[in-house]
Amino acid sequence: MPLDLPIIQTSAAFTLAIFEPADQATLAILIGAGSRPLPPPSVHNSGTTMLDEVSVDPLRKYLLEAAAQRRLQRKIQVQIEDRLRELHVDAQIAGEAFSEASVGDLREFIQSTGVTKRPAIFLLDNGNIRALWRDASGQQVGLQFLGGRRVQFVIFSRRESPRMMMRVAGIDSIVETRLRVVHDRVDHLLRG
Amino acid sequence: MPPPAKGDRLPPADHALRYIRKKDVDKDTNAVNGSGFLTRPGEDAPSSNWLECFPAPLANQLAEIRVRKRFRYEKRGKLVRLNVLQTEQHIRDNLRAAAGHLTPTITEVQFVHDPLEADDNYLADPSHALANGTPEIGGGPEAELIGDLFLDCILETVDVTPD
Repeated sequence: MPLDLPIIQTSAAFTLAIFEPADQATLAILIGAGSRPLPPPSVHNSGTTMLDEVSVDPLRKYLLEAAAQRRLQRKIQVQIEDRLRELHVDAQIAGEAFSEASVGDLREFIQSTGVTKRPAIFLLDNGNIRALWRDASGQQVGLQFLGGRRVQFVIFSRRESPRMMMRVAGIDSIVETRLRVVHDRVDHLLRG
Repeated sequence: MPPPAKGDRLPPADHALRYIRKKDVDKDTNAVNGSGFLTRPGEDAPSSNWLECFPAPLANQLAEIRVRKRFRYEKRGKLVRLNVLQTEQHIRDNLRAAAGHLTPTITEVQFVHDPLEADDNYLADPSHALANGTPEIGGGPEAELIGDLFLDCILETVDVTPD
């Protein structure tokens, strides 16, 4: 027996599944670039995409913003890799410890979190890497990557009611630390 | 008010100057790491200088400290200025607040006067001070928390001219 389904007038019916943001070539196919070439998105210093012509098309806007975000993430990852290389060379020259396990954990955190702001990065005396995001108001996310997918965190997070700075430190897994950063509402520190 | 004797606490309204190694400075962001304030292996406590030991202005105080120091200023090293009372209080208050999820083993951080006498290689340093009670680098989450509490108290950062 055929189903008698009402036609619902909703844009949701035409919404594409949200998936991993596409690169430029994939975007062109998705948006039907056969008719007109896709202009390179203009990106403000802050990383915010500035596009007038796509403001009327939410899907197009989303895809272009996602692509810009991906480019910004890659740019930050390159900066982080440059800093790690420099610290590695310094450590080799000075004959100091440099933990590859710690570096691996930092990379995992950066990639899984979608960081778009470069942290300050330090090589500690024990060979571990510490990443520090800190703003002018004193809020911070400080993460020492211990290796073995464990993180020693020091988080300072402002509260409004009552006005105070919450300060917490401990050791947890990478996954739980990522969740804690969001829960404590300091994830904005990781974004440009 | 007489100047503090060896082992006395620094006057609360005065300032301590701490040298931050280049290792604890990110050269691209100029950010300082909290580990720059912690006790290094082999130290009893982190060294600093009592700024008001020498007459103002700051340029003169920095020059006096420079000629008496017993280590090299590195390229990209920094000097940071802290208020004595504000720093001691900030660390004490916040360690107490963090006691719910940590087991504080540190009772208190205190700046104490530790003047150094002259020897064959160095001039006397009447400004030398120690931050007693500061945990050692690598001392776990509590130590790292204390290092970052020091960051909250930085009043001024000065670039050094390397030796």
